[in-house]
Amino acid sequence: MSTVPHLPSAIEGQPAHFGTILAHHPGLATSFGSTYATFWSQGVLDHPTKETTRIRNARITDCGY
Amino acid sequence: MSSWLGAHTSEADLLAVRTGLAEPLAQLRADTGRECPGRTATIIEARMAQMIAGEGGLEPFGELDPGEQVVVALAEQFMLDAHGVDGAQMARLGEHFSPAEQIAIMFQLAFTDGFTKLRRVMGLPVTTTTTTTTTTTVVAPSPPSSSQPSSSRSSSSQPSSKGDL
Repeated sequence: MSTVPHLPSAIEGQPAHFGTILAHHPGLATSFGSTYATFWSQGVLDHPTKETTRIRNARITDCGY
Repeated sequence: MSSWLGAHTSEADLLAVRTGLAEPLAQLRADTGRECPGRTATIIEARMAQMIAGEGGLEPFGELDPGEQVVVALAEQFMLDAHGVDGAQMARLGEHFSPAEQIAIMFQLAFTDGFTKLRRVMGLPVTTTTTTTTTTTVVAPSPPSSSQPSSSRSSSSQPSSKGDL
């Protein structure tokens, strides 16, 4: 990943990354997980199209995921 | 107003096409708005809507406290170019808000940035969902009675209902 987390990990012994930072707010992390799972598991777009937009978005925003 | 999608004339109409996604998305947006400290959720929506619409200001909110001023600067940089959000700016945010509050604020920035731009691209009215329903005019909640530490701020900006999606 090319970016440096600006918050520490909320889970002792684990490095700071998207998941461990979100753990600072378990409620939002749960809601986000549910929404993200729905987005990827349902819908009219095929997975290659979704993944293509995700990768392009990540490239532009310098996201390491 | 009609968008280039023809029959779909509001954000709610657009999301109604995806009922399975609309519900968890509405829940997440509501949770995010509720968890943002004080007036920050409403201020973020107002500022981003103003930036896209090219008009308006934050005057209705009155004097912003130091933490709110940091949030406004962050919202502006986030919307213009997220690469410009640096460690110093995040450190200033951390001076006023707890890590959990910072997570909520960042979610609010992401949602508001995304949906404000989506409405603009779709040709829909650029509105603030927590403050108005039809125009860019912002009706701000009352300012806080005093400057308080971030951990003791209460959330005064209520998230939009599912119908506001």
